[in-house]
Amino acid sequence: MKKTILFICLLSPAFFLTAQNPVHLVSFGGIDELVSYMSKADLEKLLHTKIVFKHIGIDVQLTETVKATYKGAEMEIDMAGSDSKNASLEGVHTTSPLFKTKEGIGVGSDQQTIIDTYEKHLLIITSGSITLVDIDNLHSSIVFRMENKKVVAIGSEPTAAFRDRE
Amino acid sequence: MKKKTPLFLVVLAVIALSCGNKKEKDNPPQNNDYLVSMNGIDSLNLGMTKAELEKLLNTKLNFPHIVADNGGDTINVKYRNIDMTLFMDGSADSSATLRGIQTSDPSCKTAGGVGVGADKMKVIDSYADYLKYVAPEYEEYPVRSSTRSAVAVMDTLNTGAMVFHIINKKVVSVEVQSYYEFY
Repeated sequence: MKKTILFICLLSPAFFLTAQNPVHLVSFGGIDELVSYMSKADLEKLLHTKIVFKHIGIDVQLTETVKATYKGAEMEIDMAGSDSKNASLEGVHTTSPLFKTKEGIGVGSDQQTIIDTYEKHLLIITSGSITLVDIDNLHSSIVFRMENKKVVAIGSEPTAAFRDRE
Repeated sequence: MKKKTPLFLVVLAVIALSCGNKKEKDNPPQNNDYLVSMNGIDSLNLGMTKAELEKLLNTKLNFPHIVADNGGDTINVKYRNIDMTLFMDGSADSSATLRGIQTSDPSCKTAGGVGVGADKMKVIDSYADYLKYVAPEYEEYPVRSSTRSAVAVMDTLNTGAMVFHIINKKVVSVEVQSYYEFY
């Protein structure tokens, strides 16, 4: 009986912390339900908000980053399109630690952990970011923005280095 | 009765240990080391012609594939008694040029002392401001290895690159290429 109570006591804080702060998945396809190629209309429905562009459909610019709140976290959403109606989600980024890859990498993770975790993947490393490229589909990637060898933002976007490669 | 270790011996041991670690970390190039850069290894520079290579290596070179197939060629040579593999480009024997150089010799090191035996993380940390591709190599196509990888260091894509081939997180060979392409 004592052991059962002790077990419940030990488990409870972890349960409540997880329940209060659920972790959402960042994948090559997007962040949680914010997925690549999602239309503006679907995005507005999911976010319960109207997206108003300042450039797409107004000037020559075909891409634009909009800010939105999703599941309590600030998101930077990269949209692409020639007009407001056909614009779709191209990339999405967040600084919230509640969004992680399935391997548990997210804001706060360090460079060495990323390199060790993704030994069988392609990593493109610059001074400010580590791009984890989907080795089976070089066009998709998860991007870790880095400061002092720590992840400060995480997101999903098309791989710039392979944009023109078939 | 328990003997106490004299304090000065402890201090000496700490100093000796820290000196040893520093040497291992920095491992600067020595006088008999050959410099690896994005342009080549020592006097073997990317873009060298067949005639220039023959003069430098003091030997006659043959490129059987370039002659037969109008394609590239790979040849093994001795340079200053070091085994080197040369990758040649060209559609004719006379116009062939040096596209890449690879060696497993530990005396070939970058200006920062990175060469055969260095840790994978040291390679990455040594080139913090450069573009780097870190990727598993093929065990046998299309199976990617879990122990063999490469770290390619370059200014930007389409510039010369240093590629450090790694097994079990240690550099086993160094390659200089006129450009790096992930495949």
